[in-house]
Amino acid sequence: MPKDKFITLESPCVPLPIENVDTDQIIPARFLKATTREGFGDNLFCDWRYDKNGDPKADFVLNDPTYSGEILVAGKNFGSGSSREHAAWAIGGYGFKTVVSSFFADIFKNNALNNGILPVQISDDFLEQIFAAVEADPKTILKIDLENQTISLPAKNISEAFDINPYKKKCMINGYDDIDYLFSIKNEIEAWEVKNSN
Amino acid sequence: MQSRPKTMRINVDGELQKGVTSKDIILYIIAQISTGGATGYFVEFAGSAIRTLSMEARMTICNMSIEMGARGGMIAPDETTFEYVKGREFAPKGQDWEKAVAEWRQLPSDADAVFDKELHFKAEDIEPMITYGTNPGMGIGISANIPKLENIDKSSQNSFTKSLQYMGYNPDEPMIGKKVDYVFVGSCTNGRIEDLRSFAAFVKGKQKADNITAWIVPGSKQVEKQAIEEGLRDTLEAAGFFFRQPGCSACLAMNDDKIPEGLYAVSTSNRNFEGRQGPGARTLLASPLTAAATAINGFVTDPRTML
Repeated sequence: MPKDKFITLESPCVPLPIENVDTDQIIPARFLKATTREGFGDNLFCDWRYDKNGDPKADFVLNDPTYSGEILVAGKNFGSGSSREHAAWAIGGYGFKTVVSSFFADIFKNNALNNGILPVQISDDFLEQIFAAVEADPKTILKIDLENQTISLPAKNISEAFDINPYKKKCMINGYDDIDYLFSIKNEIEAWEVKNSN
Repeated sequence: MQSRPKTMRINVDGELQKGVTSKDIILYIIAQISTGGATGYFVEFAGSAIRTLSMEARMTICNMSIEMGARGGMIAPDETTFEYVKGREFAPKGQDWEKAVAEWRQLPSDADAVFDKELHFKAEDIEPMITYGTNPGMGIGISANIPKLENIDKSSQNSFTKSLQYMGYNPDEPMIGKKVDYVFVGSCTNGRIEDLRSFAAFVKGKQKADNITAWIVPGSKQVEKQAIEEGLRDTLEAAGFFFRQPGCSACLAMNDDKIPEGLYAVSTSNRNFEGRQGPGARTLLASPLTAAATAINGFVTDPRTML
C-alpha cells in the first residue's frame, strides 16, 4: 500500500492517559469480520466512544471537541493483546498519523509502521509533561521530526530524541511499504543478480 | 521484514502443588513480569517443572507468551514431544521418522547458551491463579486478595482503579466466593482434549450449580470427535453442562457465544480485556480445574479444596 511520506508533523494532540490500551479496546473483535481495511476508523475505541445505542459518550476524549489533531498520546504499553492489524487500520482510518507513548507492544508497533503510522516511544517523564501541557492548554502543539528523530513541545521549549529502526525510518520518509522498498532498489538487485549469475 | 527478537529464558524449577496446572504457571509468570515484561523477546521456557508437563500443557504456556508481550514462546523438544508427534496424521513415518527425531534432538539450547535475559521461578510458589482485572497481568493466587491501591505503582494507579471499576470490584477484596454467572472452557489456550478430560474428570458425578451457565467448547472438530468417542460429552451433559460447537466461541465474542453486559465469566481463554467476551462482559481468567470447581459451587472456588 503506497503511503504518504512522513517527514515532519506539527499538530495538536488527543490525550488518552490510560495504560495498557489493548487491541480489543482499539478495535473490538466483533468488527474483524470485514474483508477490506476501509471504515475501521469509525469504530476506533468503539466501546469507550459510543453507548449501547450507538450514541457518542460525551466524556470520551474523541467526542470532546476541545481536543483534535493527528497525534494520539497514550499511556504506557499501548497496543498490547491481539496481533490484529485492524488496530493499526482503525487508528490510521480515524486520521491519526502518530501515536506517542512511553511503551508499545511489539507487534502493534510493527503493524503501525507497516501502515504508515509512526509510533514514537518517549520517556515516562516526557509523556507526563505532554499530558500536563495538554491539560493546561488543549491546543498545545507537538512537533515530530522524523529525519532528526526528535519530538518536541515548542511551547515548553523541551524535546526528546526517539529511536526507530533505520529501515522503517527510510520507508516512512519515502512513503514505502516493503514492496515499494524492494522496487526502489531494483537496479541494485538486478546488478547483483547479473554479477552473481555465474 | 522482521528483525531478530531478543532472547529470554524463563526457568520454572521444582514440583507443582496438586491442583496447579500449566495455565496457572503462565498466569503466574505474567502477573510477575506484567503484560509488557517480555516485549521485544522470544521466550524459551525451561526448568524441571516445565519438563514434567505434558505436550498439551506446554502448548498452553507457549500460547500465552504473547500475553506478556513476547513474539513467541517455545519449549525444547524431548521424549514427551516425540511421543506426542509420533503416529499423528502428518508426522514423518518409518525411516523418515528416525531421521526427523535425530534432527530434533539437535534443537535444544546448548548447556552454555547465553540469553539476553534469564528469569527463575519456583514451582512451589505457584497457586491456582485467577485474574481480577482487565489485562492478563492482573492475576493473583486464588487465595490472595485483590491488591491494595497503595501497593500499585503510582503511575499505574489510575488504570488499576479504572479496571476495578469495570470489574465491579474493590481493592483488598478476596476472590474466593465471588459471584460468577458463566463458565467458559475452551479456546486455543485451554480447548484441547486434555483440558476437556481434566474438566470432565473433576465434574464427574457432580452437578453444575443452578446459577451458572457453562459452555464447554472443544478447540477443533478433531477434539470434539475425540471427546465424544471418549464419552466426555456424556459425562459433561450428565453434570449439566452444554457441549458446544468447536471454535473460538466465547473467547472473543465473534459469534453468538457472548457474555451479557455486567455478568461475570470464569474463562479458560487468554484475554480478559474490557468487552473481550461481549460488550460490558467481565472476565476472570483461570485454569480448567478452577473453572470446574467454580461451575460446581457457583462462585469462585479454589480447586484444591475439592480434590
